[in-house]
Amino acid sequence: MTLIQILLIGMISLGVLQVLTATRHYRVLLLLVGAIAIFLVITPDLATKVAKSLNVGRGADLVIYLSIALLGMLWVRLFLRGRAEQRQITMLTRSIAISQARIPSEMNPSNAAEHN
Amino acid sequence: MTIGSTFVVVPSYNEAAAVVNSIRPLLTYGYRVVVVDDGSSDDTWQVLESLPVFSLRHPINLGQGAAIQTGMSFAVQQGAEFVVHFDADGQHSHEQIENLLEPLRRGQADVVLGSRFLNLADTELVPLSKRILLKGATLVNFAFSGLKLTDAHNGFRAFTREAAMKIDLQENRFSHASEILEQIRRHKLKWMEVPSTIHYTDYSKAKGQPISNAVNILFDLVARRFLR
Repeated sequence: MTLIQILLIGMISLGVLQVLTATRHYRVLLLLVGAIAIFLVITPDLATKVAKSLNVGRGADLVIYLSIALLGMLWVRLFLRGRAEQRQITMLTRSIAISQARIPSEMNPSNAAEHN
Repeated sequence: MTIGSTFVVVPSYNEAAAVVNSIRPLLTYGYRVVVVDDGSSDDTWQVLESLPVFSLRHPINLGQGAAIQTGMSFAVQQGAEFVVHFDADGQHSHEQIENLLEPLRRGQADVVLGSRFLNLADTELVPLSKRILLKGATLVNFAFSGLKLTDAHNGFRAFTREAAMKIDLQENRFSHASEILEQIRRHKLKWMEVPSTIHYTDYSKAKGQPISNAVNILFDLVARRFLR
C-alpha cells in the first residue's frame, strides 16, 4: 500500500466518523459512500475498469466528475436551505417587532379620533 | 384600529443622526409614522422614544426590504388606508407625499411611484454616474417585470390599503425595489409615476448603496426568477 493510499483512507475514515458523530441523518448512505471510496482507493484498477465501461478515460477522472456533480447538488441544497432559514428568521423577527411595537403615548382611545 | 389614515413607513438602519429631522415634518401633516429600526447598532431606538411615532425594532439587522415589509404589515394591521414608503436619511421630500396620495385618493392608481426623471429639475440633481446606472436599471426592470418606468430603485412610493396587503416582499435587502415591480405586475395593480425630488446630501450619499451594488441586485433578480 502506498503512502497516498494510507493518507486517503485515513482522511475518508476521519471525515465519515466526524459526520457520523455530528448527525443522525443519512448514516447508512454515509457508511456506504465511505466504504466505496475506501474500496476504490485500495483497488484503483477497479475505478478504471468502471470508467472505461462508461467511456471515461481514467478512473481518477470518473471520480472527479462524480465528485463535482455531487458537490454541485449539495451546494444547491445548502443554498435553498439557507434561503428557507433566512425566510423563517425574517418572519420571526417581524413578528417580534410587531408584537413589541412602541405605540405613541398620546394614542389612547379617548383622543385617537382627533387624528386624520 | 384607526380608519382612514395615512401611514408613512420609514425604514431606519443606523440613522440616529438623521431620523428625527426626517420624521418631524411628517408629523405636522398628521400622518401616522411607523419607524422600523432594522437592528441598528447606534442609538436610533433611543432617539425615537422622544417622538410620537410607532417604533418597531428588528432584534437583528435584516435589510431595507424586510424593514419596509414589517412596517407595511404593521400599518395594514393598524387600519392604514394608504401606506407611504419614505427614507430616513432625509433624501425624500415630505411636501411631495400629497402628490403621491392624490392619484390614490382619486382612484386613478393602486400604487404611485416617485420618479426623478419626469422633471428636468429633479433629473439634474442626480449625479451623472447614477443617472446612467438608473437608466440601465429601468431597462432591466422592464425586461423582468414588464413595467415601463422612467426611474428605478426610487424608494418614494405610496400604496392603497388593498395594494399594500398584496405586496409581500421576500427580498430582505435592496432587491426589493424590483421585487415590488414584479408583484405590481403579478397582482395587476394600477400604477403610475409622479415627479419626485431626491435631495442628494453628503450624508445620504454616504449612507446610500454604492453603485457597485448593482451587480448584487442583478444577481438577486436572476436568482429569484430561476430558483423559485
